[in-house]
Amino acid sequence: MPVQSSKVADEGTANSAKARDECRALLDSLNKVTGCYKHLAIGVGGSSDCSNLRDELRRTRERSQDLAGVIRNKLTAVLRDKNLSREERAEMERLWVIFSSNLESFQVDMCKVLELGQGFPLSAAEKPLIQTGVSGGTSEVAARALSVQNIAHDTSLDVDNLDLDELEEQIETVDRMMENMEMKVNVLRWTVEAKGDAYHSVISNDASSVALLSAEEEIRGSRCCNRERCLVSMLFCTVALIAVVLSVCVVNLA
Amino acid sequence: MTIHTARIHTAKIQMACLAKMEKVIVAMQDPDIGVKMKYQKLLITAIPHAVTGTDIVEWLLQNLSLTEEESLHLGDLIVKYGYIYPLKDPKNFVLRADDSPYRFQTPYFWTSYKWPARELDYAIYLAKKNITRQGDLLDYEKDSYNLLHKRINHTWDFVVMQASEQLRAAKQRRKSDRIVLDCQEQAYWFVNRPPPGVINIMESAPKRNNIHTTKVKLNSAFYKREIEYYKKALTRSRVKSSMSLEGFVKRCDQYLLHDPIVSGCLPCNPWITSGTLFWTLNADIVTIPTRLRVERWAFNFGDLLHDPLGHQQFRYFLEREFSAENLSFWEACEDVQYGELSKVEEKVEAIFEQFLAAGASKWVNIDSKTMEKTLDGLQIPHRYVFEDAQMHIYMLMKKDSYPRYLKSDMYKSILARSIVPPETKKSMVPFMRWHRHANPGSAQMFYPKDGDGKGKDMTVSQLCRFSHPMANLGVFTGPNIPIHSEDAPSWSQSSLPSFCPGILPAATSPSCSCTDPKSLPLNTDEVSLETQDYTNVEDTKISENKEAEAEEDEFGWTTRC
Repeated sequence: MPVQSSKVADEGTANSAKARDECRALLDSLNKVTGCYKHLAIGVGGSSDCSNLRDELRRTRERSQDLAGVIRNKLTAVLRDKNLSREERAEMERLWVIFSSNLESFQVDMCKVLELGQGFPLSAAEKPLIQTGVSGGTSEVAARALSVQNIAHDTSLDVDNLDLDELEEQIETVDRMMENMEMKVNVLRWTVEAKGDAYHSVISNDASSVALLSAEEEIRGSRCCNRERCLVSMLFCTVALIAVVLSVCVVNLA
Repeated sequence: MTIHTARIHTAKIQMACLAKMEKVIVAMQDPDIGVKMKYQKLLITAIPHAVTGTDIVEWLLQNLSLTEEESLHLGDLIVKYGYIYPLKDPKNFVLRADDSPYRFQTPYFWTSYKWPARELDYAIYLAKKNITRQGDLLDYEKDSYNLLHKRINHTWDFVVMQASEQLRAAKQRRKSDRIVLDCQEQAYWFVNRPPPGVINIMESAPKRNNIHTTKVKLNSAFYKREIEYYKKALTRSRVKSSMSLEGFVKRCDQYLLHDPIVSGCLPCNPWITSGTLFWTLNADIVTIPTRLRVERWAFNFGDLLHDPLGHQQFRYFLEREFSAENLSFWEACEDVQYGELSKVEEKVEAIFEQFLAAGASKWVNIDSKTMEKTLDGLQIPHRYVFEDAQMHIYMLMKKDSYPRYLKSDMYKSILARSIVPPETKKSMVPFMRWHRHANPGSAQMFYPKDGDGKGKDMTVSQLCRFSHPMANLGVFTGPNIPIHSEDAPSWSQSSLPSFCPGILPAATSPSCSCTDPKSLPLNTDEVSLETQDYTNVEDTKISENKEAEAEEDEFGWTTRC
């Protein structure tokens, strides 16, 4: 995130701008981690559930906790500053709302993971996992969450028991954190206005979304198979046309 | 959006059916006895763990020992609650017992009341869909999206951020997984936010106060309350169950014949058939009441008073005895009790003047103590000022006038006059199919009109050859005899012995027997032969009379069986 408004002479505003940008950056990463956590949580109890997944969940959760702690301190500090200008305050409140929504989602996901983890213990043989059709690994998602290239899984730990106790503790921690926040800073949520899409990049015409689109269509039956075929044939035709055009140019040049 | 920490952690009641369904689903996963899994073949990929509808139904049939219908229904319920979702027709959550593919839902997306689907999550899902399809949502989704955008506008940034993040995260997975994840999420939201027209299974009836939902603090105040409650409970007067049961049995015995559901009602059950004769005969004021009704007046005083006809008769009786003012007083008190609140005061005044004041026109005889109490209460007139006096008069009537009435000539004559409507019987011989159409003409002829004694004799004689003339054309042989009272029209009695095949002579006596199944087996053989003739004759008669317009006669006599 580029540091803006550094030309402003007033140090206070420069500081606050820096704080704001830091908060934004941190929030982005928290958002990323929460999203990934949720994505991983969907797999618990399903066919892709394994100790690796539980391990990834744990690490993602820990990272999320750390981030949350840092952001909370920063935001609380900024918002308790009485000398904040109105625009700054509005901006910080907006970030605050994003932060608390993030925390809420994260907490719900944690509770669900706890329940599902207890319901589908990996070690017990009598409770097989639900065959959901998901077969691939989730390590890439976790790597994304932790902002690392690869994840090395620590298989020696007894994942189940450790994990669930810690999880409960951490849920309590997050609970207390949220209560604390409410106590210290009084943000009226309904007065906050969302900035809209300008701030965040939106995936619109990526190839990936087209791939997702076509994936959905595939499921819808043979009618879509024809569409796939149409697309493929069209591509082929365009490639052929380009080849023809190129050859004509070459011939002309030659 | 407030932070609902407390709400999340108190245990909410999960619907019991969900826990059971989850058990079934887990049992299905068993590698040995579970459902057979197949591969779903898509264009490029093959996704495992697809199940066909027939497999599901068969598994349920075998493992839960159900009938086929039951297992189909159970499977359908499991699909509707979102534990299994269809692959081919994702908008239609119905279990088809053919080879249409289904897949199991991941536990995170299982239906739950503890973790109901949040608006925020729905907003994120719609935002994701909006982004990927570039605005091409379904109508109801568009509406929800706009509504949510308005409602949770303050966190809309979060919604969009999460949506894009989740999309980016999903891109890290392989293609088949992505497809499965999309299907799962779509199925989840189909169940939790159903499109208009689809039944919402998450709807529940108003919550009852369940002891598990209210946390009780076991402190001293709680125990004090409990102690008080049980102390009071000890002092309550109790009746021995043997006594109350005896009373109950007695009552049942007494009213057994009067209950239309248990003992059947004559002439026919209006709740089942379309004949409303029963209600016409038992209308409020009829000239000729039914026997059962009149007998009921003898059970207790309340029954007499609450029956309009009985009430009227009792009044005539009291008038003859010059003690009608008691009844009038009682009626007036009832009126105050149940009447309009605004008129209570004036009614109380009127009653006082008419009945209680010294030298009143209809002075009632109340004992001095009650009179004093009532006069005191008159200072503040309300509905129940006359309660004691009314009770006194009621008891007076009950102990004095009522027994005399029951012994009186008036009562006896009306009892003698009362009729027992004949019953219409079901045909005992199954292969005989009588016409179900009413013959309004014949009904009119047979039934005595109010005050009109005999029916028309000539038509009666024509149809007399059949079974009982009172009965419908649809009736014939059975040993069931219509019940007759002594003063039933004479023609019916005369025809009875001669023309009713299969009816034993003993049964011709007018006794109360609705069904006489003992006589049936003895007679079917003889009966069948003779009925053959009757069928033919009757058919012609029916066809003749059918020409007559099928209007409802005064008694609404229609079909019979």
